[in-house]
Amino acid sequence: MHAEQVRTLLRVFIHDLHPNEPEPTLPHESTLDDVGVDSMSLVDLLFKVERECDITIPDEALPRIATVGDLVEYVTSQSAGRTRERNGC
Amino acid sequence: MRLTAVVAGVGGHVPSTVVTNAELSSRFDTTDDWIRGRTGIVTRRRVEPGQSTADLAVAAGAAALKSAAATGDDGVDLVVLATSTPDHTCPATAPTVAYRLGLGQVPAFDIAAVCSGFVYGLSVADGMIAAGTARRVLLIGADTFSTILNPADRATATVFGDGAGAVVLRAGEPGEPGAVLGFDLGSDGDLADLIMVRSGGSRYPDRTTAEEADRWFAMQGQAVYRHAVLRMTASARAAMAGAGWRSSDVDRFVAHQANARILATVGTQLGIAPDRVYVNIATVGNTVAASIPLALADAAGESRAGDRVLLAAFGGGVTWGAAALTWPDLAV
Repeated sequence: MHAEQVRTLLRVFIHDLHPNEPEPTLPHESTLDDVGVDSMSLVDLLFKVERECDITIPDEALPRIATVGDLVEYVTSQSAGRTRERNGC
Repeated sequence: MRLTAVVAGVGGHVPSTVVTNAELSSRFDTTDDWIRGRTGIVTRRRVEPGQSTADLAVAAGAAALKSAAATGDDGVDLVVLATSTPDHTCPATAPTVAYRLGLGQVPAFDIAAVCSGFVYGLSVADGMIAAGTARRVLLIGADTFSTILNPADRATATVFGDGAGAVVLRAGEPGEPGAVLGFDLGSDGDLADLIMVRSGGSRYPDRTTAEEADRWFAMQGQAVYRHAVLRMTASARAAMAGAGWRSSDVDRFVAHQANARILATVGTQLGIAPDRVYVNIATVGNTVAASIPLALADAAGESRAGDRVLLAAFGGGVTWGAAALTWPDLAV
């Protein structure tokens, strides 16, 4: 999955979570909490990523995913080995 | 044919003292909007000093017995109490509850599986009925987590509430309305630290010298949420498969009311329509072992005999469990 696809997935997720808020800009260094994804929503987001990208995210990875950049880098690195495009990943 | 547990009565009880989000907002750095948004909870109940788990269990038990008596059933020969907040570390609370309900010298014991306690207890009761050890069981889930919460912990203070729920189970057959059809249970002791009161047991007996945080209930919220969704989903799927149900067959999904977001996420993962996911957490919060039977008691007025009901829970241990049953034909 490419970085921009991860950012699109995140943008859609945030919009579903906060439909009345303007679309966030998602700077690389912003914390996920700052863009409206609290610790529990992050779990929901990772379930969504796992489903749509067909990857598994171990518990140990959760504390390392704090910023927008962390999320993008983690998902792109995990799905780098996938040879098949799925559902926008 | 194997005897199976059949629900013959349901009842619930919550203490009268209400804890509002406004009160919590005056104690902690939080707001009503934040609590509602994160948990779906508006109020929760709390025992007053001098009130205990046994008091709530007796009240819920009496309500369930009254419900069962209305259909002509009478008496029980076993009391099972699911709780993690017994009146005392020793002995169990169930014998006191049986005594106070005037049930005579029936066997009575506690089950300690935190939020999974009621589902675990249901499987034990069903097993004892199937074995012929008991004909009628009073199964109660009751907890008073307000008595073990860390006064400085905003997260747990907003979520947990006190309460009790109970069912009467009689021996019957799988095809009857109210029959318990099957279970899926599990545990993972490697994750014991996720949900814990660290001191006060045999591992760290001296609470007076323990670190402050170790004297109280503590929960790693994000990790618990993650594991709860995974395990409740998988366990519920297994219970449905055992009963031969598809997601669309489930009339009511009564999951442990941990927080509204877990219920929504698990419902989505299972493919169960939102209007079939029962939610009463807004008024009572997370009542631990009482959560499922209290929800069953609350849902009684809008349920029909034969409705397919799926239960699922995840709790400390960690433990998890799911059960499939049909709604009984109750007089109330």
